[in-house]
Amino acid sequence: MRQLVNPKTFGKPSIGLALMGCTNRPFYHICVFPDRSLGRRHEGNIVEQLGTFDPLPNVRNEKLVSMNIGRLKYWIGVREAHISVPVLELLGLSGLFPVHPKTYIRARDARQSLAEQVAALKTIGNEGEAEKDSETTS
Amino acid sequence: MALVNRCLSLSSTSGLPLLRAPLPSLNVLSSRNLGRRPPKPGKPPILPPSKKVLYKVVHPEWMKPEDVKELLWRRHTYNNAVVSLRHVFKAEIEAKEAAGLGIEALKAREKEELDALLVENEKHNQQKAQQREAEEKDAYEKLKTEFLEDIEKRLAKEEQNAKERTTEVLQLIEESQNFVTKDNLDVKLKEALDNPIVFDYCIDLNGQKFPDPLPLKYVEGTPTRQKGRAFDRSLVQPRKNAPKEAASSA
Repeated sequence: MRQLVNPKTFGKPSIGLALMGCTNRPFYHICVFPDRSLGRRHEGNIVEQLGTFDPLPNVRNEKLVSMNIGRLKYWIGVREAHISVPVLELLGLSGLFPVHPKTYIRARDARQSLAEQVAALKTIGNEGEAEKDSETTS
Repeated sequence: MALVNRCLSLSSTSGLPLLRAPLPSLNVLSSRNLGRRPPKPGKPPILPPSKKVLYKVVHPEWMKPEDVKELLWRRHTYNNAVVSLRHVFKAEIEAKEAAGLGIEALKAREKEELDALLVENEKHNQQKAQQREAEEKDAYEKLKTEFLEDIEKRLAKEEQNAKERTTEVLQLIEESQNFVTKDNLDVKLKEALDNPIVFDYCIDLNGQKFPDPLPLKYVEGTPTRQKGRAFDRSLVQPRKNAPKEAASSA
């Protein structure tokens, strides 16, 4: 008799973020989904949950992420799962994977925009001081 | 049904065209929500894609040329790193499995533990069952003896009761010999009149009775005005037997 396969786990699984939560409050679970050819990804199709990601920062300005490293290694190493880009970025930030190229680009852009904002604020400050000086002299 | 009857009656009386109220349908509603299985995700394949999706053209965001160049070599190195990491993880897990720390080893250990626990539990259950059997047997024997004793007591009671009743009945039968019936009524009346019983006497310690007044079969002279315990001697003739009683008492 030929080997019967569980359609949920057969094929190349993919690790991705599953959006849960409600209106104006997203929350992601890092889950393993089965092969795309078996149907599109939805809540009922999850094979295993490997972690969570909260995109909204908390009181201390932290975005909390949790990961089951042992199971991640299994799915990535033994089962050769495809990993989505957001999950790769998170793994890079965690240290298990190298930092994703996209993270570098985003960080550089953020640094540049921050520098520009600081420069803009400084120029406004300088203009304000110059006006005050001119007023005092006059 | 009542609604339909009312509508029919109305129409018949008024003569208007028949207006039927909407009847509840007996077959199951055809909404997908009432099925037990959850519906398949996404649109059914027969439906065409929505107009928004049909002519969607993805325009990638513009990126700076230096970023693009950087990303080229970064992507290559990253992908190579990921491939090697997959091998590393695989080797790690295989080493764990070989050392006996993997999931299958854990499952085997847990299965062994479970089997051992089940055997122990079975033993314990059997012991308890034997204990329970012995206890139940004792209780049964005890209850049986109690019941038998109760039955014996009740039987003895009934026997005694029967004996007492038989003696009673025999006594009554004997007494019934002396009963007054219509046949021996005249005889009995004559007897009673001939032997009047009078309790109006006093008695001393020797058992000698002194009736006052003396009992008479037939009333002589006028009967006393007073009858009863507190007999007043002043209301009657003086006693004729007074000296005799005095002599007997002395």
